[in-house]
Amino acid sequence: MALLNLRFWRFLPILVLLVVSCEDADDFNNVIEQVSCSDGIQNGDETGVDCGGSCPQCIDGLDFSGVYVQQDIAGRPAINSVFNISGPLQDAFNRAAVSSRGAQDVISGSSNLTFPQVFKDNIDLYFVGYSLNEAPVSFQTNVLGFDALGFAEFLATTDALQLAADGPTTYRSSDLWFTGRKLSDDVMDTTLLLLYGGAEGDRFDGVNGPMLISDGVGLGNRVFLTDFPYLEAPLTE
Amino acid sequence: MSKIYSLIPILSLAVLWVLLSGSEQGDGPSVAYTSADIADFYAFRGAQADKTVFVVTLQSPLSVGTVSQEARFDPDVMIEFNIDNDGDFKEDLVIQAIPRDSIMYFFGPSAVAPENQGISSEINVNDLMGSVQISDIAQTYIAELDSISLFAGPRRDPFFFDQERFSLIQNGTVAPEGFNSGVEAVDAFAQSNVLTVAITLPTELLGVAPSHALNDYTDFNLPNAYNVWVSTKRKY
Repeated sequence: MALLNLRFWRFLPILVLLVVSCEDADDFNNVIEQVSCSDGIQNGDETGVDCGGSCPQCIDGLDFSGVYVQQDIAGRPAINSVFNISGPLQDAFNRAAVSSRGAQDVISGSSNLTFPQVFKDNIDLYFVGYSLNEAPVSFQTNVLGFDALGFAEFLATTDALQLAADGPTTYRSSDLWFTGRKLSDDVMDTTLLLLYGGAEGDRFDGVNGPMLISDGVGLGNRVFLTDFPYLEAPLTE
Repeated sequence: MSKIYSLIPILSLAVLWVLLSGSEQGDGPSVAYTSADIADFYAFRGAQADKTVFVVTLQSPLSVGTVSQEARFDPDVMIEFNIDNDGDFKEDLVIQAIPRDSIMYFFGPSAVAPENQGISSEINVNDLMGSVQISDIAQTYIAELDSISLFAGPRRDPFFFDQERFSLIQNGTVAPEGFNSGVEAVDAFAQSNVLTVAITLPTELLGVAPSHALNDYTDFNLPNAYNVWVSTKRKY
């Protein structure tokens, strides 16, 4: 269904070109011929059937046929590259529907792996890596209240950007979590905080252990536009 | 200790793949550095509060100069913005974008029937939203259609991260030292471009928003929120 068909401008031709045709001036059998962008005939100022003029432009002659199959996917940032480090499993993640990555869904091509368990193992690996030359440490419940497996399950099974219909949109700002993702949001610091920061967000903060909850870089000299397309012009040198 | 040693090959593997990745670019050897490789996805409220903006970045990184000038969208790769209205993480609405010659065509928002949800799609040719001339390094084209704006073309990469240091932390080499700060922290993406597709449209066109996903897992009381994601789909 084309929701945009409801946009008012498409009905302008109806108002402008409303034709009342009286087959017989003596009876009341009036026929009202309405022009719209979805009536299946070329009328009004259309240059093709339901296209051109005040309707969307015509795409006749262009081939959009065929079946298109998922190659890559992105919801929350850095999920597949931080929490799913094996190349073949990254491929499997990229090809899986969002709704098919739960604890009951065996990863395609594997015998018994699930994404929540794989993510949990990956979380543990960060702490194994840290512990190679140090006293062993492990993941601690994070600021969202997740233990390692719970965090893994949440990430794997709800991998989309949550986007608030009303109100501020931010990946994280104080107590507001996951209501969108702005260009300027420091999403990697948020990811690191949830991975390393512990329940209070002050674990591995450079005082309580090394700095692991912020990568130390921000926007730098990027300047985003205040209106569409918001993205900065491409660099030329 | 034997357990730790047994993990070292896995950690080495981690280094390999993380070196290829920023946020999402390069993740997955099959799609890395192809025309379907998604780098990042953004969704936010527009400058007008009743508008929503979707941005996807692709084919990262594009170095400045010839590589950026010659970067092209692939006519066999359809970019699909997915919106879940009921919290089941299946797309209820999609907005599709695909190039033909020097034009990016946009279709939707189109309702997706349950039997058509998932990893395979056809293009909703009856739901043409509009089109925009694809921009290049020198020239920016924006289509302003009533309440919708469209853009496609190269821009500076908005993503920032000290990727190299992260890789060394991940494999344990410098984890006990941690990240750098100041000038020693290096943003791997500061001097790169990416191909981008951006759209802004009235939020009301996205329909109803379900309960926030995090509310089901925590004590947070976050506002209703769509679940949105972007995918690339290649013609077969």
